[in-house]
Amino acid sequence: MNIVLDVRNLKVYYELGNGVVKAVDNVSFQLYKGEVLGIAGESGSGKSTLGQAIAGLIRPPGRIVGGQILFKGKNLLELRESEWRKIRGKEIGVIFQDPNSYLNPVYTVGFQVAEAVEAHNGGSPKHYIHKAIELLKMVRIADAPRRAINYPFQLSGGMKQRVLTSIAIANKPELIIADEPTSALDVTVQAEVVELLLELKKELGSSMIFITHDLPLLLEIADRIMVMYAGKIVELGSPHHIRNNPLHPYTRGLLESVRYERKAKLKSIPGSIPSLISPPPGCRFAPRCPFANEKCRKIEPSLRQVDGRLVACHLFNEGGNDGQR
Amino acid sequence: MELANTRYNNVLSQIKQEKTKRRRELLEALRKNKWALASLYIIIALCAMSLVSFIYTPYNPFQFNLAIARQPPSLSHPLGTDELGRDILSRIMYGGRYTLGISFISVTLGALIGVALGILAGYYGGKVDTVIMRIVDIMLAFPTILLAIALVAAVGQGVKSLILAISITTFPVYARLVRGTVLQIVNEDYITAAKLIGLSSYKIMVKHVLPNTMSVIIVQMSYYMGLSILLASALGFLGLGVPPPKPEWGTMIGGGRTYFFSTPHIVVIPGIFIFITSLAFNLLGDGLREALDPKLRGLLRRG
Repeated sequence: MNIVLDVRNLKVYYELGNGVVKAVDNVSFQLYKGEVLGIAGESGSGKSTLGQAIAGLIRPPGRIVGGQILFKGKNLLELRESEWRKIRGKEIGVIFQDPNSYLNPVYTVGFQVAEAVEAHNGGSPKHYIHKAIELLKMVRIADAPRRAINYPFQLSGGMKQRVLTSIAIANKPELIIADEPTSALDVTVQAEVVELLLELKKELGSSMIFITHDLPLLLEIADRIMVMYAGKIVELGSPHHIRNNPLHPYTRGLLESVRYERKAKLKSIPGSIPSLISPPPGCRFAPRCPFANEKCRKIEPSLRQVDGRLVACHLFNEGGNDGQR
Repeated sequence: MELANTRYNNVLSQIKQEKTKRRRELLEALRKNKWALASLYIIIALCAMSLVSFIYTPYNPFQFNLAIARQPPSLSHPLGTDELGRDILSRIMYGGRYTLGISFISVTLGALIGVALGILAGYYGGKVDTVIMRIVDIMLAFPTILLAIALVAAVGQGVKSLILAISITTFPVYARLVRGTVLQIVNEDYITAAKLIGLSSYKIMVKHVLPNTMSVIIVQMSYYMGLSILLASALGFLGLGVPPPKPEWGTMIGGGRTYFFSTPHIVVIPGIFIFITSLAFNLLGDGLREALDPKLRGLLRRG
């Protein structure tokens, strides 16, 4: 299969006054062409930092300490700013969580969409106003020509998220990174936006990284799901595997804390995410894990192929499932 | 295609309409503030007066006549005559072009330099910021009038050096102010978004950062018009401004100061003009600040 994005041993650290926060620690994964890769995890798991690193948005005090991000074979981390500019917005489009703040309040939304087109085609944004209206139609904004002359504050949250989506897809990017695109929206609008994203992805033949804390949503839409905890990948596999047979205790915990199809009681995972300045020496989930043993507290587990997916847990040996439930 | 084009032209003209609508809203907000509105009218009147002096003054402002020296205001000389018998009204009108013109040009120049430096410092941060802001700090460490005097002394007396002195002494304040605003703006998500669509730093600064600092700049410029009128006049009074016989208002006060106790009008009348002009620009600045910042609307009036 065609690999679009190949992340190798990526480390993103935040150097703060009281220590180094290892937000993303030694993460490797591949993204295939046309695939939707879902990244799930609670707040502080490093999922957003990972997305930002791929989009080249890490700013001090954040720093990419090691690893490679190969996009179509090119290492993005070695690019100069001017080369980056040619990729951002053209080959990689990003959609963020809060649509309210990502539009400039002093320009009409039509202008801002046109500007995204102009950035990679030259000329003046005015020349692309018709293109902008087409893009607004593509994200199914009703009455696009009229909406194009509205200012951001005149639009609803869902509408703004559509505008941002149209900006992200303006130049038909090969990779779309959606960082919690629905979290700030009303529940009723969320489904529409997700559906729209998937359709656009299909239409453009792009790949997509969909970052969210909503694991059940990923079970519906993703081709593969990556569960992150405290800056590490704990499990990476197909929705089928994750839904029917989640292996890592954290994945199980996540599913049990949100599972709504059964009438079972909701369970929360006791404790909270560990300090990333001085993470526990062994498995980072060990302090909260009901199955943790001595080995878990001392030795860090590595990602291994178990039962058709990758999992980082000592409870499972290569090829088999001897974990206690 | 023809039809489509007219439709998109429609959209463009609608965008224009939207913009004029916003401008009208701004003027409306300004109109509600009586002090600011009155100030605006006073400023317009003073500018008109200075412009009229190009085609008409009641008397020749340079023609002296010792026979009628130091006369108090009368019908033939509404504002009296000065120590050399020159008509003060004519001189005030003629001098307005110096006082107002110098202030206007130096404020614009100071703002251009200061805003450019402030945006660069705030946008790039790091070393660029450190270098620019330390220069600004050094400039700010000097008392304004002292720095201006030193500059005029170094460059030589004249209109040009006066403009230079005023703009050099005022640009650091813009730089500091704009940098602070820019620091806030660069952390806004829409700047991240602008980077993400692949815009160059230059375009981001000009198109996304600058417009969002505009309100701060306009307000500061209005305040500084008032200040630079005072500065120009002070230098004129000290004999470092526009050289006599040119009737810059500060120079006029300087010329008449020996007669202050016998015929105070020679000094007081230019003083009143300086005072009113400076006050008007300051009040207009307050009004603009209120009108441009919706958060402050009403707040200032209540207080």
